[in-house]
Parts: sequence; structure tokens; C-alpha cells
Amino acid sequence: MVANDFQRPINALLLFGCLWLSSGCLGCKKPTSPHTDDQLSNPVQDKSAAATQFDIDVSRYKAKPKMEPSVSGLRFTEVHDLLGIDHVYANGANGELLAVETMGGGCAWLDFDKDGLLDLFLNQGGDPTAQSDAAEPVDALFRNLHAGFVNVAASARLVDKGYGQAVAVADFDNDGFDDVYVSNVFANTLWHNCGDGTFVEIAAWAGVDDHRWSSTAAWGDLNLDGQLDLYVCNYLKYDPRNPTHCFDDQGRPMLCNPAALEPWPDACYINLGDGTFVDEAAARGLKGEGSRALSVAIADFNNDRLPDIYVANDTNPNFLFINLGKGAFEDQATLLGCAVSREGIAQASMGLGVNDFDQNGYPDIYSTHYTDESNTLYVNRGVHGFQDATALMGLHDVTLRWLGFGTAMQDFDHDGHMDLIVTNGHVVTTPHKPKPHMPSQIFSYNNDRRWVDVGSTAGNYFQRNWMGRGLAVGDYDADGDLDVAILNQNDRSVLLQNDSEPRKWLNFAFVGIHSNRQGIGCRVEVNIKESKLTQELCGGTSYASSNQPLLSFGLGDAEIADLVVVYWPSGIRQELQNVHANQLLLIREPAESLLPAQRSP
Amino acid sequence: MASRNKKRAIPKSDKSARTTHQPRSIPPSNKSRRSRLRLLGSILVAAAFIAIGLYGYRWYQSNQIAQLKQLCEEAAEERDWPTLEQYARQWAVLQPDDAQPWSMAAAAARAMGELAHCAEYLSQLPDSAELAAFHELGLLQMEILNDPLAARNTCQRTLRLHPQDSESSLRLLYIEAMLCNRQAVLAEAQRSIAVESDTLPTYAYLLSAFWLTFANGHSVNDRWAEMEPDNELFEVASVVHLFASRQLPELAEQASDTVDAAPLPQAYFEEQVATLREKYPDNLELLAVTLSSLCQIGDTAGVAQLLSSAPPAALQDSRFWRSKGWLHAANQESEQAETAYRHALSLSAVDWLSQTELAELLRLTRGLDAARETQQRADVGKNVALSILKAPSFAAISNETYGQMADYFEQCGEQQTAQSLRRHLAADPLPARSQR
Repeated sequence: MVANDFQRPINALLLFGCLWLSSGCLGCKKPTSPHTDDQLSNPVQDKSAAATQFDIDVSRYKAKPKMEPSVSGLRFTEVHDLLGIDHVYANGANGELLAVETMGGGCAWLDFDKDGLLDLFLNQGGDPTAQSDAAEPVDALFRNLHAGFVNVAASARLVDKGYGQAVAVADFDNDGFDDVYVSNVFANTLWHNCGDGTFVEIAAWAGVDDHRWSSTAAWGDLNLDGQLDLYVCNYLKYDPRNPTHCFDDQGRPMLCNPAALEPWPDACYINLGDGTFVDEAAARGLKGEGSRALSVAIADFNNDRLPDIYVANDTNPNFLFINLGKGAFEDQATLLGCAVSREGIAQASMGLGVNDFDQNGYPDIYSTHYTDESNTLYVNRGVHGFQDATALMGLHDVTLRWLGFGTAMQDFDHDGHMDLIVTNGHVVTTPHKPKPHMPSQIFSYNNDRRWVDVGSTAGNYFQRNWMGRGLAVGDYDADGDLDVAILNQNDRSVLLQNDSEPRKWLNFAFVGIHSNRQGIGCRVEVNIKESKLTQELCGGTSYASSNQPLLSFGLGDAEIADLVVVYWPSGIRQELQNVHANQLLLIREPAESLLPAQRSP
Repeated sequence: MASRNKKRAIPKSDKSARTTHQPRSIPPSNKSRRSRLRLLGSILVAAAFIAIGLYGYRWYQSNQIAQLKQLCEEAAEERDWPTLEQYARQWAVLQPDDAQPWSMAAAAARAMGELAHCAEYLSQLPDSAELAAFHELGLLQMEILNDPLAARNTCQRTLRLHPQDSESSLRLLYIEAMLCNRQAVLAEAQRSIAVESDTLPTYAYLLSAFWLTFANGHSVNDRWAEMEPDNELFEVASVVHLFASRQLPELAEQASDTVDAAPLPQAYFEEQVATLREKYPDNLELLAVTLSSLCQIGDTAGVAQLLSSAPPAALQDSRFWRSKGWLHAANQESEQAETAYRHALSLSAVDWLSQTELAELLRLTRGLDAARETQQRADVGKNVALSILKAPSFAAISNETYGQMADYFEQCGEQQTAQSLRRHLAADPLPARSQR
């Protein structure tokens, strides 16, 4: 018994010793479970284990090339001073930080006098709180006299005194003359071109005098009846004469966050063919949740020969109203992957550039956004919908700093690859916030399937800061390449003449017979050897602005296009063979006998 | 008697032997026996003294305790808080395992407005203390002592003692979420639901475990870090919340005014994260944030490098598998991408971002119909997530959102969770109460 009594503590000691040793061993042992804290303290061992388990072969992934300013043949020269375009959009800001001050205005290319030279329309702001328009400044209409421009708004009787936000130009009545629809903070106006160099305002008579705060508008033949319909983006419920005041968390006055204000629904005015319109947005399914629309593009995004509508919304998911035929639309943006960013975030969308940069026959979408939100490139993968390829194609970081508005995706240097131009400028102008002036940007798509910033060599304009808003492209000097008009707030509106290194090109304008006269919705395929370039004459795009109704193809060094195919909105298919480069082709829609038997609007 | 006689009777042979060969002495066995007896006696005497002493001490102590208790009660009745605190402290020294003196000392300190002292007393409470005392302690540690780690310990201890205590569970969830302890949030929410101590916000925490950030998370963590400036938890969480809120701190914002550009939060935050990663290279939260940024800018090489060197704990985190999915998708490795996304969803069935990316992958590889269901599910999850993120507090989350949450859990295969949440909604149609 005595021996047993002594043995107990010894056994206990032995047991304790074993436990101590074993616990010591455990402490030194390589971790085997991912949950133990010990593993985190031994990164070297852990890393090798993890590398095996995540099964990543690092060598398979190329290091991301850093986006650095690149050199290209793109050159733009400021010629507005030289040509007498003397226009400053005055937003009327007086420190009250009204929401409407920050968003206007736009510009539009048109040939209102049919002299073959592009004229330029520019919005004007004024005092958004003015109770009467009587003393307000008017929008500008600069007539192109070849040697220069002259503002003829008064003599053309296009005297719009509304607080201008945007402009959309089209020949809505197919009479061969460009008409002008102006979006204002209050009543919108429709200026019918009388054909004698003057305009008459008919918005109320036509039924399109939307009194809501309209941010932009676009023309397109949505029901394929040969008459252009009008899609009007309405923005926020906000009355500058009785404004909502907003404050930051320190009680300082601030510009109201759009998400804090109620949105207006958009309108879709269907052209009845007699000069009048009726709003059928709701009836046609053109209503989405949220809205706060700032720009719109009308194009056939899914190649079913029916025009679809893409709407860029501020702080809400964008809409893609797919045309189901029979006059009905359905928002499929979410399903098709172009409603929000890759991270699933609804961005503050401002402007839209639409074109087929990857040459797969489907129009891609470039959407400009707020600061700290990258502009987004939605690559159209056809039947598979869209893919946000912004980052993979080098366009993410380069736009984070800037707040983008007007934009265009065009082949400015005719090298056969698309370029992107973006005008930037902040909306917040309070002293404790960043400076609102920002440089415009220009990117070029290269053969490495990436976009590169070529602003550093594209001209002085890209080296200076602006409060850019509207942007419109058109060949004002009829030299074949596309020039750019930009409206800046409280600063000179700018005309950038395209002086890029000359390459081969082919431009197309249209005269529709069964289709709308300007050929909006026409799609053209240009086949050069093995490659096929596709473009569509879209309605809308950019921000608050209208481009010239022209398709401009860059052929690079090719002297001839083997085959050109034109698809008219009416369904007619037209072919041209062996078309020589460096010419503007005015394509007339063929005779009625070529009309397909059935078209489903 | 018989045995005594027997002991004394010495056998003859032995007696003769002693007489003949050895000097007369006490036999060893007797000597040992006597010494043992003496020892035993001494022990008995000592034990008796000790027992008497102990008894006396006990008597004295219980007498003293009774007196102190009496004095405490009198002081409490007279609202003489300093005296109450003094006597209660003396009492607590004598009876540290009794909750009453600590509670009385705490009550006195509380009444005098000395909340830090109050918390100190409450922290001495034995397990037998009332639940409310632990709740008060947790609150004081959070709000007065600015010691969330102590509050976290208190909550964990309370939940060991009272597993169904909802208040401690919610406080613990809040602290862990504020510290960006993602797995801990998940574990506590799941535990709480399992033992039916859950409330409506428990489900919001469960759903948002891997992406929840607070608008005030940066400032809260910075305040917590005042006590422990180099604490990894606070440092990392502060930056993670700030990153998510996209709000530049005042200094950085002022600095941005000196350049002709908008402030660049992304670059600023990436710099902050990079600095912290040098300090804490294996911090999962920092790695996850970095991965997210790398995916955002399309840096496939960076993502591959980071994943290949991530610590094993990352294998249990759906965010890392989602990044792996993105990496393969970006590299046109569709099968591997899908496998990775599905693994992410096996770790977190309610990871709506993985669902979104998987839906895109399915759409691009198999067509719209293959993606439709996943996309719709992702949209429900995203909408619920946005509702949570936009809510000023968990208390402000509407029952409508909780209803959508239940639908989402169900769509993601979490039927039991959905049912449990629906039971709550049926029983409590009023808006959710605040957890704090």
C-alpha cells in the first residue's frame, strides 16, 4: 500500500510530463488544419501549403501592362477661336448649389440650311431661378460659312430661352431638313425647320413639350414605321425656383445627391406621322425601376434588326430595353449583363459611346461615370449578352480620377481601330471639394486587345482642364475625318479639328425612302479582305448631344473595300462592291420592290 | 487488552538471545511505532489547533461578513454610496466568490457616476451573477472603458453561461463585425440560430458576414485603437471600413485640393492597405481587400501571385475562391472558373457576388438560359445586400427586407435558416428592434 501511495504521484508526474512533451510537440508541429492560429504565425510553411491547394500556376498569368501615355497618330487642334465660335455656357451658379446648375448642356451638329456644311447648335444656361424667360440668354446656332461660323439663332428664329440641358437633332417629319429638340429644365421645345433658314417652335402642338427636368433625348424609329420617334430622358423632381437644400454631415451646404431626390420617369413619344406625337413609354414597356436617366442610345444591340434602347441612369442600374417586336419592349439589362458594373454596383452613368470596337458585329457600350467609379466598357458578346471588360482592357484605373460626361467611340484616325474620346468635369464646385475642372481624355484601341491613353500627344486641349459636358462628332470641314465639338460649363465651347495622320476612309450618309429619311438605324458592314467592320447609325449616344448622322469607317492602308452591305431599318439589304476609299457615299434606299415581305415593328 | 498483553509478552527464545548477544535496548519495531505515534499525536494536535483556528476564523469571518452585509444594507438604504462602496469592497475581499458584494460595490460606483469603477467591480463577478450584470458589464466595457476586446470576452463568457442570451449574442456580433472578424460573425450567427437565441438582426449578420462594413466603422475602430494603438484588429478594420465607405479622411481630402484633380480614394486606400500588409502580411482581411482591388483593375498576375501565397485560412474564405474564379474566367479557363465559383458558394451559399460572377460566366459560356436562375438569385441577394448597407442601423432594416432575406436563404438552399427567419417574422411583425 505504501508503495502504491508513492507510485501515484510518480505516475501523475509521468503523465504530466508526457502531456507537456506532447503539447510541446504539437506546438512545434506543422499545422495541418486551416483553422489553427499557429498556422498564421508560420507563413512560410503555410504559403507552400496554400499554393498547392489553390492550385494556381503563377507563370500562366501575364503581368498587367501599366497604362502609360502612348503615342498615336491622333491629333486635334482647337479652331473655335479661329472660326468665330464664341460661346460660353453660363450655368448661372450663384452659390446656392442648385442641382440643375451642374448638368447642362449639350451640342449638336446639323445642316439646317442644306448647304452641305455642318452647322453647330450649342445649349445655353442662364439663371435657373428666373421667374420669366424674358431676359434669359438664348441657345446658339452657329452657321458654317466655310471660312468661319456665325451665330444665326436670332435670324433663324431659333430663340430658345429655356435653361438648356440637351439637344437632339433629326429630321422627324422626313422633309429633308434637320429639326431641333431642346431639353430644358422646364418645358422642352421642338423647333421645326421650315426649310427657308428659319425655325418655328411646335412642341406643345406636337405633344412633346415635356415640362419635367429632361436631361437628354434621342431620335429613333422604334416601331419601324419610317417615322422617327423621340425618347426623352427625364431626371429628377427638382424645382430650382423652389429648391431642395442639402447639407453635408458638417452642416455645410452641398449639392444634393441625386439618389436623395425622386426621379421622373422617361417619356417615349411615338411619331404619329402627322407631326404629332403620343407618349407610349408605359404602354410599350419602356419603364424601369429607378430611372434618373442621363443619356440614351438607340441601336440594335442583339442583331435582330429591331432597334433597342439603352438608357444610362445616374446611381441606378442602367436599362436595356430589348425590342420584342410588335411595339413592345422589355428591360433585359440585368439578364444581359449591362445594368451594373462587374461588381454588381449601379454606377452614376452620364454619357454613352456606342460602336463595335471588337469587330464582332455587335455594338459595344462605353459608359462614363462619376469620380472614383471607373467608366465602364460593356463588350457585346452577341447572344451571350455583355461583359464588363473595363479592367481587362486597361480602362479601369485611367478614368477613376475623372468625372466623365460626353463621349464618343469612333475611329478618329482611320487606322481601322476605334478610339474613345471623353470629356470630363466635376459637378461639385464648393470650396472644400476638389476642383471641378478636369482634362478630357482620348484612348486608342490597339492590336493587343487593350486601350491606351494617347492624350499626351493628341493636342493641347487634352493638357488643360475643363468643366466638360456635351460632346458631338461630325466632319465639319468635310475632309473625311470626324471633328469634335465640346460644350464646357462657364468656359469656351470648343471645336477640335481632327488633324490626325491621314489614312484611308469611307464615310456613309443616307437618304431613306421607306425608312426614316436620315437613315437612323442603318447598319453598314464594310468587308476588307478577311476583316469586317460594322457600324450602325445610332440614335442618341454621348451626353446631351447629337452627332452628325454619318458613319465613318477607317480602312487603314486599304485602298478599296471589297464589299459594303447596308441594312436599312425597313429591312432592305443593299450591296456595293469594290468601293474605293476616301469618299463620302450618300446611300439612297432602294425602290419599294426590294422591301421584304414582312417586318415586325 | 488482549492485544496489549500480547504485545508485551516477549517470547523466551528472544529474551535469552537478547540477554546473551546484544545490549539491552528498545526493539526497532517498537521505536518506529513510538515515533509514529508521536508524529500522529503531533498531527492530531496540530489538526485540532488548525481546525479550531479555522473554525474560529470562519466564525470571525462570517461574523464580519454578516456585519459588513448589515452595514452595506444600511448604507444602501441611506444612499450613502461612498460608504456602501467601502464596505462592499471589504466584503468582496472576504467573499470574492459571492456576487452580492461586487454587485453592491458596482451599484455604489454607478450611483456615484464612477462607471469605470462600476465596470471593474462587475468584471469580478462570479459565474453565478445575474445575467443583467453581465449585460451591464459588456455595455460599460464598450462605451465607458472603450475596451471592445474585454466586452467581447464578457459576451463570450456570458454565452457560455447563458447560451440563449440574445443580447450578448448581438453585442458579440456587432463587435466581431466591427472588427471585420468574418468567420467569427458567421460562427456566432450560426450558433445563435442553432440554440434559438437569434433575433432578426442575427440573420442580417449571417447574410452579410463576409461583406458587411459600417459607415462609422473607421471612426469606431480608431476610437477603440486609442487604448491599443498597435492592435492589428483595430488597425486593419479601420482601413477596411474606410475603404468600403469610399470617404477620404479629412487630411487626405485637403491634400487633394492641392492638385488639379478629384481626390483619388482608390489610390489612397490601396496605399493604406499596402502599408498595413507590410506589417501584417497574412491578415486575411487585408488580403481579401487587396484581391478585390486587383480583380477590379484586371491584374491577373497580381491575383495569381496573391492566391498562390495566401495562408491556408484563406481556403475557408469564399472571397478567395471567388477571386480564383475571376482569375480563371479572365484567362478563359471556364471550367476551372466555374469550379472555383461553385466552391466559393459551397463555403458561403449566400455570396451574391460569386453568384453574380458565376452567372456572367454561365451566360458567356452556355447562354442566357443557363445563367438566368443564378442571375435572378444573385439579384435578390444584391438587393437585400443593398438594403442592409443603406440602412442607417440594423434596427432600421425593414421586415420587407427580412422577408426578401428569407426568400434568398431559401433560394440558396438554406431552408432551415429561411424557415427560422420566417417564424420570427410571423411572431414579430413589428420592425426589428435595435441590437444596442
